[in-house]
Amino acid sequence: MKRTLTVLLTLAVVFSAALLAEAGRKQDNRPDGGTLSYGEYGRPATLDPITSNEMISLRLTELLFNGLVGINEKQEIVPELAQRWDRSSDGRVYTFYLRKDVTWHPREGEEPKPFSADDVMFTYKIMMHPRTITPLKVRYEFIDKAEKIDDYTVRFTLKRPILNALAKFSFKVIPKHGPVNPQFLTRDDAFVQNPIGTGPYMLKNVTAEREIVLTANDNYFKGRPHVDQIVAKPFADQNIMTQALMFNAIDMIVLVNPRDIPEIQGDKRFILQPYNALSYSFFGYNCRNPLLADKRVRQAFTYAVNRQEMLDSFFNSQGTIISGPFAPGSWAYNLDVLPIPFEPQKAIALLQEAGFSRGADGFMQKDGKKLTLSLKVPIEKESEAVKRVVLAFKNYLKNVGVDIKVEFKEWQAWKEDVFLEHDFDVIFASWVFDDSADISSLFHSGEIGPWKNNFGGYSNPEVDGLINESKLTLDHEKRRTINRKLHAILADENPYTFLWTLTNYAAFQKKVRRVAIHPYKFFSYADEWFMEGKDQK
Amino acid sequence: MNRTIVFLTILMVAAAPVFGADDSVAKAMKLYEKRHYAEAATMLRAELPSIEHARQGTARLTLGMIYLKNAELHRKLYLEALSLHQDYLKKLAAEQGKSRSRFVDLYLGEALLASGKGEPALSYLQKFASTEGLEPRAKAMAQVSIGLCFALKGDMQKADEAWAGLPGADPEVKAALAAAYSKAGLKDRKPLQLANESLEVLKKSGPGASLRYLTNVASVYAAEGLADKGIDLFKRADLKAYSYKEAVSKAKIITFYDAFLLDDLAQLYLMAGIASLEKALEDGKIRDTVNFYLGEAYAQSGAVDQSVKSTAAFIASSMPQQYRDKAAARQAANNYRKGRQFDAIGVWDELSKKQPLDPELLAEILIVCSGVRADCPKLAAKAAASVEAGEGRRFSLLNIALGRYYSAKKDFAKAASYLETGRDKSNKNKIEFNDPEMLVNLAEAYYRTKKFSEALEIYFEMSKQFPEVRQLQEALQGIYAMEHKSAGDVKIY
Amino acid sequence: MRSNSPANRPGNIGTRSRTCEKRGAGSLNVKKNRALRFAALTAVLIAGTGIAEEMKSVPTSGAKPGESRDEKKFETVAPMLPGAAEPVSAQTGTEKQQVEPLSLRPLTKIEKERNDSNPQWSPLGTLIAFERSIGDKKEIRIMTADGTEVQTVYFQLSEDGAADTKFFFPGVYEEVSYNAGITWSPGGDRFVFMSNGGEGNYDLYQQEIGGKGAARLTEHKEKDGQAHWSPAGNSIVFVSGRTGNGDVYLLNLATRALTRLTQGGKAYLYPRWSPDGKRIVMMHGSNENHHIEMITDPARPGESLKRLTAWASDDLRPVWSPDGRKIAFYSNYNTTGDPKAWSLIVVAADGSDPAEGEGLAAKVVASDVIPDVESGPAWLPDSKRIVYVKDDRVEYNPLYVVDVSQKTSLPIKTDTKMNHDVTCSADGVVAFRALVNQWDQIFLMRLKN
Repeated sequence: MKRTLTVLLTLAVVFSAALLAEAGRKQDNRPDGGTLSYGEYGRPATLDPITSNEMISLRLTELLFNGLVGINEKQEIVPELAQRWDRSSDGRVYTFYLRKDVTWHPREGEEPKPFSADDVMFTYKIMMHPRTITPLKVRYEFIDKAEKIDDYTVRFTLKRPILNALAKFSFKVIPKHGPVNPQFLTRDDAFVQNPIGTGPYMLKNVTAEREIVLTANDNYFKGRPHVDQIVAKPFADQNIMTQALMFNAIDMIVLVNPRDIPEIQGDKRFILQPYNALSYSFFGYNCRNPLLADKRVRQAFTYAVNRQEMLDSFFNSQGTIISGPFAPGSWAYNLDVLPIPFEPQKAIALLQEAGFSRGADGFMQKDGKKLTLSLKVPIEKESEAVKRVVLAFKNYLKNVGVDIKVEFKEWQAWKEDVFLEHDFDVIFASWVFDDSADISSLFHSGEIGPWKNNFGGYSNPEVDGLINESKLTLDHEKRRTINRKLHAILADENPYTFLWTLTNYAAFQKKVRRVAIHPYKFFSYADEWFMEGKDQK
Repeated sequence: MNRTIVFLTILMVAAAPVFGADDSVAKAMKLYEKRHYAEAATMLRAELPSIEHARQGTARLTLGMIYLKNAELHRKLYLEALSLHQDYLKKLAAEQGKSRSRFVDLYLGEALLASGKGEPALSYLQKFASTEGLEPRAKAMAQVSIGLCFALKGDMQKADEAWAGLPGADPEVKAALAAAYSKAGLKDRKPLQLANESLEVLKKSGPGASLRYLTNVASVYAAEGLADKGIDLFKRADLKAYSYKEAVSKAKIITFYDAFLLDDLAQLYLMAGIASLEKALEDGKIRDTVNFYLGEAYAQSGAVDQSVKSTAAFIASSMPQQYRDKAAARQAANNYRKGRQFDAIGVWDELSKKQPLDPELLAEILIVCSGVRADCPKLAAKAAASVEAGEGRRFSLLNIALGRYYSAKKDFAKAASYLETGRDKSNKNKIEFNDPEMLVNLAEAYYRTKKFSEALEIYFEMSKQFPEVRQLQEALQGIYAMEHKSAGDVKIY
Repeated sequence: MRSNSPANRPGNIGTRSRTCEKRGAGSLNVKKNRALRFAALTAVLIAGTGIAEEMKSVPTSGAKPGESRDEKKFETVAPMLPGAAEPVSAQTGTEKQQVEPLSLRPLTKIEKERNDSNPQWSPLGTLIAFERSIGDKKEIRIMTADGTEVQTVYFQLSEDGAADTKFFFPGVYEEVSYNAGITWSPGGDRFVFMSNGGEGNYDLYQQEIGGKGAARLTEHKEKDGQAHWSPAGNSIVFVSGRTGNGDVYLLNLATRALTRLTQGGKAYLYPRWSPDGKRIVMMHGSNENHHIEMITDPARPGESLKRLTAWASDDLRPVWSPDGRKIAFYSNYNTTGDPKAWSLIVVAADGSDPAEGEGLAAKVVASDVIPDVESGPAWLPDSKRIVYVKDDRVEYNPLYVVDVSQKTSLPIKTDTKMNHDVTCSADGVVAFRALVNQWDQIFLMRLKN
């Protein structure tokens, strides 16, 4: 009996999928067809949503996968793999009722397999497995347990109610039949390079030139995307990427080099569209170093650097100087806190106050020890502009008697030095946030430790208390107040020298229409993009 | 010949070398071009007495232009602030429980009142006034506004009931009452005298005036036509100051702002602009040019007939055709305001048929269309085709005009896309490169399409020159905090 | 305060205000050859840094714009430092030995708020053009080698009504023009450049030195750029997007006859004429994989197309040696497989070298270089050495010189950082950009023969 039911169900699913394939076109009267190729500076490390940890991969997984829920352009939570959900009155239990018409992208020669609750459970378990290398784990520790109720119903119980819980169920679901290892996922698994998902686009192949070719998913449950093919093209040189766009070899650049903006803006065939990723760059200090444990020393460094000048020259003024741990476009920014001005004399005074004096060699000394610090920079970040920033920092600090020894390291080695060994004095890096602007993992003392985000070992009971309170509250205004306080404290404490938020621009040919860009995930609405028949090539 | 006159004027106004590099008119013009309006106006006004007689007209014209532009900007800011305040405060007001703000009722009531929604305003204000344990001044403020609600409805008896027994010795309350009388048109109650009295009290008692207080006095001055006096009130004021900070709990602090500060500023600037331009009219050499701006200023102030007169004088002048065409487009808008919609649209259509069509003229037509909220689909289509084919930044003006047209039509997605095209990308938020009024339009379009961070970034940059946009920033942040949906992701790179 | 302070250098306020006389050798120099208007040995205080840059024999050009010179332009005064000795293998990368330049100085006064880039010598080395970015404006500046302004190219298609608009719509908009990619005529009296004329469409224009107006050479809604003037004639090659991909075109400047030289689904970029004007080398490919290809007979572009490289690496920016026998280019071929680590490769221009595999890999003359598609690497006039930028993080992109036959590299002691855009004049003056106080400046340098 049960068996019959399953078969019937499966049949129903297959049937409805077939029906959908028939009726798979979007009903918006916009033309299908065309290929959109876009340039990225660099290659994605992996193509799955679990192990990937950089923006190039994140953008691709947005095309390949879906979450239980999605967030639309109007900031509304909308059904994706779950067609509806309910929440218990105490806000702790979320039950998701899954769509029954979703199929996984088929492997070559195979029939599409149906998506079910097992896939959701599988994804959750693999994501939380201790041996899975993923940045997602910490973000889902708020979940107490996950249960499969039936093939199309799953239930999550939270440890306690939290703000915006529903949005967190936008994590991407992967198929149970995907990874080779059913327990945990690492970058050795074949799945991470050759994934299948439920999203609007399917991975077709990776060419010899490392172009990643994606084709429209005819069975996409929201209707077949308009553009037939999306091709991600990695470039090894940013100038060539810009020229490729200018001479029509590609249709879009997802992130334009700031120095190239004037040239692209000067050509009316292109649209430069800003998208505001809430991100900022900073010099982060290791408070484990006794010299840097003194707030005055960290403040001195911030007074010593001319941030506006760096921004103007190295980034063509494409950004805004910030005063604290949030981007100016964020809701959490404390508008009363102004950036520390460029005042080298004040920097020197602060260092003197902290017990330093200039030695014969011009460098600051304390107890006979020269103020020398190591600055570690990941090579992955290395570009002309980054080198310039680092060189300028070194020069600015030299002017106030601080000796900076710069060390460029391979990305992985850099991460180990910074996040595991904590072997550094200063780092140059950037954080990028989604709309939550959640800085709790950056400055809470509970986040000190191997592979945790408070790499500098910054510890302040007042900050801890505020972060705790902010996590517990369900009141938006209260959380806003707390963040304003955090901003003011951290701006004064200088665990980082907060630098700037850069403007992100995508550039694309005008022929690509109805382009809406998600500021963080980029391609969230790409299934709606289209090209007129005459523009398709 | 005509051109010569214009160029002469230009030389007089803009070209520094003629009068020396430190010429204050030229300096003001430079500041104006950088959109440092307040700075430009303050400087030039202070210099007026020392400017030689022959240059007085030009100086007045320049000052008038500066005020006019600043008035337009503040009018737009005010309207945007009003709607942001309401959106934000309504969300706050919808909260329940003991951590609900009390003052939200007062400020929401006032915002509703300002936007002409007397009934709902009254209910919030009354709710606030009946709150237990209020400080007397706060309660009095609510009573003043309740009275104004009734007065505006014509129910003077209830208005007087509300206004009875207010702590009249408190200069803050006195000023609020003066402003209410003034807004209700109760001249017989001598709002000006009341406001001046409050000023006297305040001077004696010592503590600095609050921004709300200044705003109330300024409202009275504006209504009495005392533009310069009104503007001077804000000379040393911190325009980003909040009106009230409510500590709901230790960790929940809400700041409230007065949107009508922006209304007052807009009014005062406009009046000062008109006064300055009218003075400039005395200089026969530049009369035509002055009429161009006066026509615009009168139209903004609602003095349509005067606008018709000045604009007609400009059209009849021997100024270059392209500017007379622009004036003709504006004149049509005046006719539209006077109920002659059909004629107006006819004129616009006619002007838009000129060959070869100047994108600036088309932009002007669209902007005046949007200004009177006229429906001009043909013009919009023409403009859309024109920007699609057009080249360079000459067309940025037309893109911006299209954006404003669609903003007025509440099609904010379209508006955002046109305005974004018209924006200078390399300096996207800098007012030196982008008209701040355009940026406010764009911020509005982004807000309406829920791209909060884009809108916030615009105001963030703008607040460096115009601190009074703080109230828009705070409201927008509040809405963003409540509306954003995200998974809490953060990555290092 | 310079001992020779020549009156015939109007506008050369360049380095002077921050320049002070250093020692007598300069005046000796001047005495020796006053007519040649040599500069003195100078020490330039670079603005704001307080760092005195050693200046030796400032090369100056006394020639009038456009005029060719048969005079000797440089006189070597500063001896090589002892120890600038034997070159070492690039592979061992010994840092101790280095090349001391004979002369080194900034082309113009060191200033902030603008970035200079992409210097281009006129064929005779009398004039130098470079691009200056101020905000999002980009203009081409043409100067003599001593920094005397000759011409600024900032092309606006329509200037009509600008003053009116300023008055009626002050500050509302400003046409911003973007001008770049200059290429010189063989005689150095004319040049072609790319401009959008402030109107959103990149096309090519021709202008004369000292001439006021620019003549439009191309007009197409797709971009035309990367022009290169034939050293032997009156034609240019350039890249156009009009085919939908980026293809190379030949334009006869006299007849305005236009010939498409390349066909194919992938972009052709950065065409460069051989010094004899008979062949054209360029790059061809997509994203991470461009090849170096050559048209050996522009009259038969299809049939005469030859691949100089055909492997999986990305090969960028081919540059002819002055003798026309070799071609240098950047490649991201390296032993680690890192796509962002670049090498410098030199192959025979006649196509006799392997186009792939170990054979081509063996042609690497320097590794860890900074690639640049606008200018560089710079062949020295002897066709034996190339000046390039090393990807050395400690020294922040220092300049190196490689002996291409020995494959040995030596650092050049310039003390400039973030060097870029290296190019060399016919008589051996190396121009490049470098970062001083956060802003890019053009420097000139001469090396020992």
